[in-house]
Amino acid sequence: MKYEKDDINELYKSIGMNSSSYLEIKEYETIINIKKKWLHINEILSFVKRNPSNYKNKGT
Amino acid sequence: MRILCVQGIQSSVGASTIVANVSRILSELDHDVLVFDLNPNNLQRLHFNMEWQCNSGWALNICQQQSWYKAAFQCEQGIRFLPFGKITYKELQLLLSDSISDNWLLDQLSLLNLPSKTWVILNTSSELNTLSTQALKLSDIIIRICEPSTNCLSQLVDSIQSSFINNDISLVKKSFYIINKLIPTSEIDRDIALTLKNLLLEQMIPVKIHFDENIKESLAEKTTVTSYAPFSPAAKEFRKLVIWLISHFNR
Amino acid sequence: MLTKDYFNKDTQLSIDTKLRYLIIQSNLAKDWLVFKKTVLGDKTPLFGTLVGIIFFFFCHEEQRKKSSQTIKKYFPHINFSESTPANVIRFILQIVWLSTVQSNRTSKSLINLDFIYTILTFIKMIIFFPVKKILSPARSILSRIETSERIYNNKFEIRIYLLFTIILAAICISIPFTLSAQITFSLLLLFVAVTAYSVPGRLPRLLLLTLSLTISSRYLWWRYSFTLNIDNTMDVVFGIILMFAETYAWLILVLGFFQIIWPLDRKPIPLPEDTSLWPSVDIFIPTYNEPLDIVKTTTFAALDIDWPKDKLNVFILDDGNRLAFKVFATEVNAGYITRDNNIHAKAGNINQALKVTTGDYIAIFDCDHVPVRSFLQVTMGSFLADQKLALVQTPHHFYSPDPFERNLSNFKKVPNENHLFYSIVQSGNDLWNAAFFCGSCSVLKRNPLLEIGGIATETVTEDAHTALRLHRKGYSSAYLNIIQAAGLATESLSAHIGQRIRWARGMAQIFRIDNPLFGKGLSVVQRLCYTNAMIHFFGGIPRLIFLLAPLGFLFFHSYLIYAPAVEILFYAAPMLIHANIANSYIQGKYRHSFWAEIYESVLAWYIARPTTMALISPKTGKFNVTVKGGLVKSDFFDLSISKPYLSLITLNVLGIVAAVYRYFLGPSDEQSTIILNFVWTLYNLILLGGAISVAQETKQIRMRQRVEINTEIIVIKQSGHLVSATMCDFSSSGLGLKIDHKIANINRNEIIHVLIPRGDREFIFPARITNTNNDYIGVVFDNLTIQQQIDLSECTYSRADAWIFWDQNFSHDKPISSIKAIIKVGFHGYVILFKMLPPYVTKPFLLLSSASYFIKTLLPKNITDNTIEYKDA
Repeated sequence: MKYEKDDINELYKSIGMNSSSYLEIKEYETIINIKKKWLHINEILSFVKRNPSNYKNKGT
Repeated sequence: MRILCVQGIQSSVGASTIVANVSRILSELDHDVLVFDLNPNNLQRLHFNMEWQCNSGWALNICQQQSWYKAAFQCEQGIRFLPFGKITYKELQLLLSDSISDNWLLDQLSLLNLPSKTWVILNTSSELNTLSTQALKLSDIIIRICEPSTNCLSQLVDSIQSSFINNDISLVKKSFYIINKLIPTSEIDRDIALTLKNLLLEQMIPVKIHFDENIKESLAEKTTVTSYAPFSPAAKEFRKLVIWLISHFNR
Repeated sequence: MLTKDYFNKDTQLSIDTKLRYLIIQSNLAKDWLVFKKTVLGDKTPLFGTLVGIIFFFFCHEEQRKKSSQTIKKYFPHINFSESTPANVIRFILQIVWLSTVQSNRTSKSLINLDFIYTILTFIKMIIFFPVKKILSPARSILSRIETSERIYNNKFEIRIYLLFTIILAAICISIPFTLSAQITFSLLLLFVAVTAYSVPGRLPRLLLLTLSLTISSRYLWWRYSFTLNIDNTMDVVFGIILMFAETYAWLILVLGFFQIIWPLDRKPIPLPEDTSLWPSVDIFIPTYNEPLDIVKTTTFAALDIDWPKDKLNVFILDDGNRLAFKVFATEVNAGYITRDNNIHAKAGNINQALKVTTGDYIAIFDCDHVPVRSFLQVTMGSFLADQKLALVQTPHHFYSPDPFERNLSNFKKVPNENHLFYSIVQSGNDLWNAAFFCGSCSVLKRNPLLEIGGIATETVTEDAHTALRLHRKGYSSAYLNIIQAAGLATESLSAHIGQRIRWARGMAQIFRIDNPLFGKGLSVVQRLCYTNAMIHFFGGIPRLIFLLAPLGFLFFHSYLIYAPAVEILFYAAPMLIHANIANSYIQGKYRHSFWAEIYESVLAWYIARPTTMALISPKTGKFNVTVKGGLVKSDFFDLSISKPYLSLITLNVLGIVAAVYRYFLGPSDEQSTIILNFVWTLYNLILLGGAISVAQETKQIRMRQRVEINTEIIVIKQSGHLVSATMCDFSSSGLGLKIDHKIANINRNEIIHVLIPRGDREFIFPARITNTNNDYIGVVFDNLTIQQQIDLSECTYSRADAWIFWDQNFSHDKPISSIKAIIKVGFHGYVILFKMLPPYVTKPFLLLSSASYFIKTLLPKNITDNTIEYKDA
């Protein structure tokens, strides 16, 4: 189950395509900002191996 | 039997509230539900309309050398509920070390002779002990509850890095995370929620439960939010969570 | 086992519940009381009670509990608490209607009428049996051929077929028939066409086009060879004029068919996963005199487009040189470009910006076209896949009604004028690599654009001309039929016409100074596509000719078509029918039959002059900018714009008078011709009436057009209580929510927060309640930060799926109901004119109309929704 009504999924569904190639750039940039903003979060996250797929729109 | 283990990443993140609401909605959907409180803080009873001074519970019964299942209740919606019971620290130590053997939980559940498709919801303490590790291993799915706080994030990353207990991959695979008590107006809450989602990806249940006065008030009113404010966002979110759970098991 | 315990004290029912339980028990009397209360209210009128009793006690038993809903549904126009004679008549008529015509819908759920229904279907079957018997095998043959498509490897084989086809077509077109042969011929073809119409696929499509082409070519052939009366000078002059118009119409038909023969349904091409390979894009938002608010919305959306920040630059191109815009641009970190003149308007503006920016690609949005956040990821993939690609165009979508839609109040019901062009024509062009630039919602590649010297400035339609030049240089273009931006439609008819005049003039200018038929670099098909796009705008004069043609005979007794009326009928009617069938088949969902006639009739007069002028002298004529975002403050009739139509109407009405005069007082052998011309004039009058309807400007309610949406959101009260709500519309300044405000306990002027989820993210905005109207609550945002405004845009206008459902309400064209709608619109025009007459003329007629309205309320109503809700009474 995905989040309901993800706009990207809906868009790609309407044209009969898979949205997996869509990159959520703004979201990615927001997370970079979050790390910049909160020292502790950045510190904790730096110990997590970055999951390469979390840059992507995971919709199907 | 569908065994569902609900565990907070740390204490007081709202595990018992989630157990209460989930069980209530499930039983409203005509599922058989057994709620088994495995948390020594014995708080689950507050959500099930038990009288406050009533100390009874399965752990207490064991300590008093009675058959433990006599502590079971059936609530008005048909939910079966086993409170933990009020016991002292000493009794708890004794209970954990002596009475609870390795397969205790499994044995007891099979003894209960429950209807075949019963949901068994285990309210598990966030600390690891004999009981909670059993519950984690026995369950079909683990719902771990996070609060969007730095504490919680830290605990979570710790537990992921060590794959919970002894690098048990099976536990990692069946555990799913949900954010509770997300204060919508708080910037840091939203930021951490987004971070968590990006960290956990598919392991994140696609429902967030927002911090809502209705939830607090409903407990003060001795009921659950689904009946206290059935149209509130919180009630809707709990319903979504249950739908997710059901579809997860149907997959 | 588990024990039952004292613990379940909640099971004890309260007294109230017990009572309710008693009432709901199928106790007939109690049921009846509940029923009576819901249907009749507190009154007990004789008629209502009678009906109620009959209805209640004779309906199916399981219906009884919900019978109050049922009775309200099946008798929607009757108020049972009033016993008037009219209600009795309504009731009886509705009963008859339900039990006969609508019996199949109601019988099963209401009253057992299976028997009558069976008889009715039997009669129906007998009538339609022969037709069905022939149609269905024909259909199945067609669809079978459709599935067994062949691939021809041998070019020779194709040529043989082609030759054979051409010879056959030549025969079909040019052989003179006797009248009876012509009738048989056209009926046979009509049968084939009707068969093909109901079969979807490639083959029926081609078949319909071929049939229509054959028949219309045959008509034209017949016109040229047999129907010019060379003995009479006036007949020759008028005849040639009409023939010119007909030839033009035929040309447009042929080119149009050719252009949209197989629309290319292009899909976005995914971008590489590595964003470092993505090119840099500059977004241009040219503006001249539009208000800052409009530009703000677009800028926020542009800033929110999902593209790496370091590769995305947004520029406001302010030709108005306004300080507020500059301040705003700095505030939001967007570029601001201005110049000290405004030569060449928008084209010059963009060319100036090209000089001072460096992005690999340029996305252009008119300042009111708000892009969605996926715009670049949807469009840019094509560029990376095809190095020769210089242009990607997406549709122009308008979320506010254009003057046609607003004044005829058919917004979102009938596809608008634009829709055909952006759904089919551009996709059709795309097949031939001839999709052209429309000035906005598109991406251009910088280098090719610089190579042709920037945006073309020689004409007033810089967009089409720029595309033409790119194509001449050997670059290709692409059209993605996915709405990725939405804007405001022109707000008044005069502005709309002004815009079309500009397009018409510009296209004529290009046709004159850079004719696509000549010059280097274009393929034959590209030339034809461009030519069609341009000569399409020359339709003004032919349309005027058609609007006046029947008067040639009625006034001057001139035979424009020198042939017996019956022959004209059997040559012209099949042509018209076939063209309509083919168009309806292809354009079905995108333009409903006959609406084009209205659109063209409105524009005809206004584009006739500028196109002719531009053809003669392309340099003259001033540039007019399309003004958007204005407000029609109150209803008014645009008299100045409808003057030409009023004169055309006068002429046609005189034509009707002349027809009546000639019919009764002229020679009897002319009567059939008179009838023909009479019908033609009547049709023209309907179209002109339509033009008048459009000129009746309807008031716009809001400055900011609200856009409908349906999303669950959360309202956060200051007390910390959360309330779930549905967002049902939005504008740039606020939202419309649906909440039961009694549950929510929300008051006017309350300060709240609104939480809008978008997929797995959620955004929060401080807001204020401005009005509470039952369960509809209006909310405005004050003092949002820049980031919040960008986020708000992401939750509203720039949602990737914001516009994907907008055309779901359009049904496929139904020609007959389209005719009805056109007649209605035309008639409405005359009602408008009539109302402007002095009261002593109009009063008797108004009485008559209110009488007919009353009679209409007596008529039975169609029940379309057949579901019965199961609710307790």
